[in-house]
Amino acid sequence: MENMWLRFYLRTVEEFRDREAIQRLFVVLLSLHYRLQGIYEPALVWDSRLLPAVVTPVLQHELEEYLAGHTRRLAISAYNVDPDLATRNLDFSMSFQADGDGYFPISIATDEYFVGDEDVMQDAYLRLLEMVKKVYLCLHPLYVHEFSWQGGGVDRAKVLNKEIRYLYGTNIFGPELVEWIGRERLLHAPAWRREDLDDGGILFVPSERFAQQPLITIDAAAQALGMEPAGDPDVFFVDEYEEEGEESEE
Amino acid sequence: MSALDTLINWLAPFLDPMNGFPNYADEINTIHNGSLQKFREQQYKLDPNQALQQNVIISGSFANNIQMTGDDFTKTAADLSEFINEANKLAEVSEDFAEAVGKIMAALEEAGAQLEGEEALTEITADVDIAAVAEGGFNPIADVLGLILTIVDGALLINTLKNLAQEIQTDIKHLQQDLAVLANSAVPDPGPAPQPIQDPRTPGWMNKPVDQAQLQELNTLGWDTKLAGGPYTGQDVQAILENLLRMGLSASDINTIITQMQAVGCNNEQIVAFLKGLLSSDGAYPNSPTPQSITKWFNDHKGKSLYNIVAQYAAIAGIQGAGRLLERIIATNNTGYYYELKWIYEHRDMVARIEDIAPNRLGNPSQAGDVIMKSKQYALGAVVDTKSLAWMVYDKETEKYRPMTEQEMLSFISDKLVPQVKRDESLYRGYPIVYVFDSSKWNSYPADAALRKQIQQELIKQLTTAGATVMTSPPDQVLGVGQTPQPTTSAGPNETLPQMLENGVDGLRKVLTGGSGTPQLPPGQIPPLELPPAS
Repeated sequence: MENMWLRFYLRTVEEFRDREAIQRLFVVLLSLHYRLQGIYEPALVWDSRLLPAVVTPVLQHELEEYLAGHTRRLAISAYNVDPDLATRNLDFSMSFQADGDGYFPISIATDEYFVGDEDVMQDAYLRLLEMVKKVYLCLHPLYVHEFSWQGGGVDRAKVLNKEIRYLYGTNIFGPELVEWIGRERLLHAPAWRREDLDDGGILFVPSERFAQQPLITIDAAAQALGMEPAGDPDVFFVDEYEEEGEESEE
Repeated sequence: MSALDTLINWLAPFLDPMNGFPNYADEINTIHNGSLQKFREQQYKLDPNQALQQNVIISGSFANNIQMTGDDFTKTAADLSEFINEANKLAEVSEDFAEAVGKIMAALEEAGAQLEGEEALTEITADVDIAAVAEGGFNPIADVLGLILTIVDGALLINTLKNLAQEIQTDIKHLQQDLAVLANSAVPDPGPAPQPIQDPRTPGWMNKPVDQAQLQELNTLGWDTKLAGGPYTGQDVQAILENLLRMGLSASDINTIITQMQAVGCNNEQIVAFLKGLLSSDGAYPNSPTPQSITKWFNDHKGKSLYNIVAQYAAIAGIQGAGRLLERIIATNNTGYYYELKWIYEHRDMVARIEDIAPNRLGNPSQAGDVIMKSKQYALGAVVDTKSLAWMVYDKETEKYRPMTEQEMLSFISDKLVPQVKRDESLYRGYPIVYVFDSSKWNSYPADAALRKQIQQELIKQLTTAGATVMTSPPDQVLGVGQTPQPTTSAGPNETLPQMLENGVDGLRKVLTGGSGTPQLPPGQIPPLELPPAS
């Protein structure tokens, strides 16, 4: 599996280079025991000494360079330094690009966290959801979804025009999209996890993530919402990918 | 033998080992770290295998220590040059002095012969008899002055030499320490990379009973005897078949997949190795592959494709962790794992382990390094991650693959690949990290040439900055070299070279002091406190 990517479509493109918004996000993450570093700083691994939950000087400098427009992108590594393993959240990466596609991604290494037993993976996923909700409630984006390399098609223009055709493995609809889809429809569609959020948005996870045999399928949930299921997010490039007429290497 | 020759003789034991670095001398004699980086880049481009088993002499703390040693060596060499210059002067002084003394003695003898019997000239002193000596055809004033000046010069020179020698002694002490550190930083017995998880994961089906009816059906087909041979006995094959049944495959399923492999030309040994591999996932997914995924995979793979995969797998089946890779192939069918298999097959003699597992930061098992290369003397095996990236995303709307956007590609690099490099660096402290990209995709995607070049440059820049060496394969080619972090090893000190250096210092001391430990002038001379007045 390749990484899990969650895309946050902010309300305005100005927010991608907005000091106040980014710092607000940093404060929320620090309160969740995250240590925020530049991507070239040493990684924390299982036996690393727990360092404090701060924004490192390296990242602070990179933030200033980005806000001043000297760099196009700001890439951040977030390590959770909660000393309690029972409540420690997942490490992730994220990046801001002011001239990008109109979202910022949060990326989690699936081969690090979503491996092994089903219950272990689901526990990790539920912890992740708690963080994702907090980030959502900090920035109030229009829409959040789990990206799939195997399809679904949505971009900023479609989000702004409320042309959300695909249901993803993880979805947070902002209040405008909730209204467009229909609140009642969302509240009654089959879902493994559904939650009303404080700003009127709804977290919607259609199917038990990482279950071998989910009780609720994404297809059923999508149908109830008048959408189509996006492609399997856990499938990266399959060996069937090849240009038309090209023989497989194997 | 001149004083210079003596010095050179004493320095030879220390100079000669340093002659082992002639090719690096120019590079390491500069202060800049970039020089060593440039050297590694040249080496790895000429011989990509050196990137996969990185020579510790030109990377890591050993390289850093060489650079430090080189700096001290440069200083020592400069001080020695200066010392030798001064020693040359002293040699000249000594020669002039010897000549002057010889001349004076000859003149004195002559004068003595001439003055024999004359009471006033029975005692000869340097001052009083100068005039008499002068009458023997010798220029006393100039020569005595010259002699005195020579003595003074000699004293000054010797003082300079003494100071220089002390500096050189300090330099050599530093070099001695450097070389001890250098020896200590070499990997004495490089073993496999660390594997923090100690308990192998046992599949859940291991304790299930064998369905006897299914077993009977398989035995009727006689696969245990038909497939036996080479490294596998009939009993080995029987055990494998029983475990496949425990796993949940039916006799019919097993018969089908064996027949399928035979039909594409796989030999018995290859078939048995593959079947055994299906049972060998003790990694992060011990209950995978499932029977359903196995039968589906065989449905999807026929012909030459199947033969190649089985043959490649069988060739690497003996490498620790091979079964984990097979599990990933069967369970995910992802292109990347097929590329990994092919790459390992092509480098199988250099591979120590495949698909490591390590705890994640919640304490649960997770995937770690893809391929761990073997280490050998003075070379650390790299932790290799293979990537087969087409930079394409499937678009359900058009039912076609579309190219990734620039942000998607840049984000893939900074938000996935770079953190992965940093994680590998932290998990495998001190070992080189190498990322190998499928050259067939590297040279073709994205299709837009300008964008492709941009992404290639961005990949190389970000990954090498993070510390990974970037390669493409096949053929193996190094595109960028990452900095190797400091290893922490504890080899014993190299006794020989420091001992030689100590001998060299002692030797120098003896040359300068005649064994007394105190600098001395040429014998018989006492330097005047001041020059005599000019006449």
